[in-house]
Amino acid sequence: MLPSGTYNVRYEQSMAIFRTRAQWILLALFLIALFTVPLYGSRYILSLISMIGITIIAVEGLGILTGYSGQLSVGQAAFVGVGAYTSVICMQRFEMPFLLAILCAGLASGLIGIIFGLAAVRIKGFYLAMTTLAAQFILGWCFLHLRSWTGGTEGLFVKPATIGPLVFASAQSKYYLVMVITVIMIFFAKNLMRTRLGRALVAIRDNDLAAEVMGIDLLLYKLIAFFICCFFAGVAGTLYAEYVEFVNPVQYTLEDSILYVGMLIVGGMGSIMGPIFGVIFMKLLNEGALYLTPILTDMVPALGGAIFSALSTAVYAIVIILFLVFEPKGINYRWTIFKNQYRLYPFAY
Amino acid sequence: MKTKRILRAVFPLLSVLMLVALIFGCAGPQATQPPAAGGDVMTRPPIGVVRGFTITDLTGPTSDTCVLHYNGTVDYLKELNAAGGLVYNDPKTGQKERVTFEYDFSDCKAQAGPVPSQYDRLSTATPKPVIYFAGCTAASLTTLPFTERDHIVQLSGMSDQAIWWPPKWAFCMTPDYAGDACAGAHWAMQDWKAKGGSGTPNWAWFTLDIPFGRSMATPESEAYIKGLGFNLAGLFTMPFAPVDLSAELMSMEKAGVNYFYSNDLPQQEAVVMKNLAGLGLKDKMQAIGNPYAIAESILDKAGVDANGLVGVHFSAFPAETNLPGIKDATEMAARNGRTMSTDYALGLCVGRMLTEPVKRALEAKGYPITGDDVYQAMLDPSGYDVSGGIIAKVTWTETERRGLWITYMRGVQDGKIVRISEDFRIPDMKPQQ
Repeated sequence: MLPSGTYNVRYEQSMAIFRTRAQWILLALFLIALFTVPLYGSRYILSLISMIGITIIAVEGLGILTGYSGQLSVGQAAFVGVGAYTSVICMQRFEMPFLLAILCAGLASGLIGIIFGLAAVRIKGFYLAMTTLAAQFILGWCFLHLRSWTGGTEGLFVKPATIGPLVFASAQSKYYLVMVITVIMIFFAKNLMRTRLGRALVAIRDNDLAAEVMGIDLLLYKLIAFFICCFFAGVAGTLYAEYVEFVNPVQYTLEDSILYVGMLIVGGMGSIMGPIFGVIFMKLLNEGALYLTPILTDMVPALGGAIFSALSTAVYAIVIILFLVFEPKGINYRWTIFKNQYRLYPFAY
Repeated sequence: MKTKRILRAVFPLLSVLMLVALIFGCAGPQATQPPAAGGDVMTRPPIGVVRGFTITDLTGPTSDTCVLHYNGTVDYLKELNAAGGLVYNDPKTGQKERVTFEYDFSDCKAQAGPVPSQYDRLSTATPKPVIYFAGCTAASLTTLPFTERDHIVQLSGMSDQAIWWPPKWAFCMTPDYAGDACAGAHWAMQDWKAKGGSGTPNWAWFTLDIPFGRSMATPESEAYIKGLGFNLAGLFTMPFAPVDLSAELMSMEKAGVNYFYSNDLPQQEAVVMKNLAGLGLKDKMQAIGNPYAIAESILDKAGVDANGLVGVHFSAFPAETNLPGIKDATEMAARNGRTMSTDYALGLCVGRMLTEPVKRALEAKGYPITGDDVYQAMLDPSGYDVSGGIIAKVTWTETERRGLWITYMRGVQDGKIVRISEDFRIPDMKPQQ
């Protein structure tokens, strides 16, 4: 919805993501704030924001598959793992440059995603979830047992990424790497959903039979959705491996996959902002709980750290449950209502 | 004009940001050495603070064991600080000094995902931590590059190969998963021969389907077990919260398994033993548990069905109160309202292993110390015999980060955990080069 008194008079205006001067200024301020964090933020803050950025990419990919095209996946963490291992193997065994390795990681994850996505042609809903669950276990098995490639339980250590003369070894430089790629991936996702492909995916989600009648090739588009979802996961995996400087099967578990779905639900499906809100909300809630636990333990030492850790987990769960009960459409829906209210000012929403 | 307007808006903002960066970017308070003062060390204020931290699983799937370790460590450190802190001879002041040992914690729920942020939060506290205890595999593995980067010594408990090889900034207090499994196989072959078994016995892995569980089944451990004369019947997996494992045990029976080694915790091992009893397979298959599985809580969880379980262990029994370490742990448990157990006593060991290298570093250099000083102290050729008999003497070198090589077998008999073998050396499971 456009702000009150603002009209589109040209096609370009109608298609623009940022339509008003205020929006451009806000974007510029946001980007300035985002890219100046290393000047004043501690390494913890940089780490937290970097992890949020990496997770946003993974959940944004899941959002395209689940939120836009209606295909459920609970194996996203495994595809993140495929990306991580692929990029490390490409860079260290084949001595590829980082940018080529990240592309290969995305493509490898995407292609493996297509294999598991083939089942989506015949099945959907919970049945499809089961096949993606199989991906989680099969790929997890591969991480452990293809030892000559993955290092098995020992994992692989990762050298810092380099782009030309730039070496991304410090927390600050890694932050910039993650943020630049996160912004690019969000921009890519946003634009992708405004294309014919995006509209076709939404049509499949809303009614696949009607979509097929309209001439949308279900097999092709569902596989594309899987490819894109897993491509995002591959990119996220590469960044995670670079950030942590170590890849090991313990990093790509079913719990992570389920958490990604949880983040998507909390943030709101079927939007680009939803995964961003979901990831930020869940990560900060978790960090808040973790931060408060030692403080509470110091206040009542007799109860011990484990009790308060359990309580913080319970609070974390209760907040999510309450959220789902009172705002099942996700944070993004509430944000949309808020935006519409102030944009319509001085008129009532 | 438009550009000017934008620049007018952006410059003040940038100026404010730069100012904020200048203020917050300045170095934080440093741990400096206050002037020395005479008198009794306990009447003078501590010379400073030394910081350590832990990332462990307090509410996740392996918390069964990790919480007990954590409680033991925290109780020890709390009492240490209450008694005045670490007292040492400071070469800089030329007199006895004391420091308090601050110990922060975070719960990673045995997941790698939250570990980087947690580590970055805890490792950047002031004064900078010099030592850190990785309480679970997820934390140990994920922080390996970080501890090396930040020069913070990492102390680990039971460990994966990656933690001790190649050598980094991680030091393992207790044996590795693969080595323990092979120690179990070593005992099993002796048991097979003692019982007059003929032919080639079958060996199986039965484990949690996660990297921690599977990490015992390495090419090296499999080659060792085959070398002992076993036939490898397969790897069977179990979920974190198994309700019934009859199907898996029946599959093992079908495969002719004689001995199986479980890499799990008491909550899963109790189901294994109950199902084994229910199926009447106890006489056909011998369950061998890892050191976590054959802990005291298995007696409560499996009841009479725990009888017959054997396991590899490296620690003294809680009943051995003639040992100074066990006596200390028992008294500490009573003072803090805890239940004494092997894992609680191991928590006390962790506390002592965190503070003793710090003390040696302080005595070598004087306050303040860095992670490099503690790293050098860890490599002290005289080793560490600080647990009062709870575990054997621990020694690390530049190329060897497994500190403990002694183990023995425990067994559950008549509702009690008893020693069933003498001490023996843990097989070396160093990866092939």
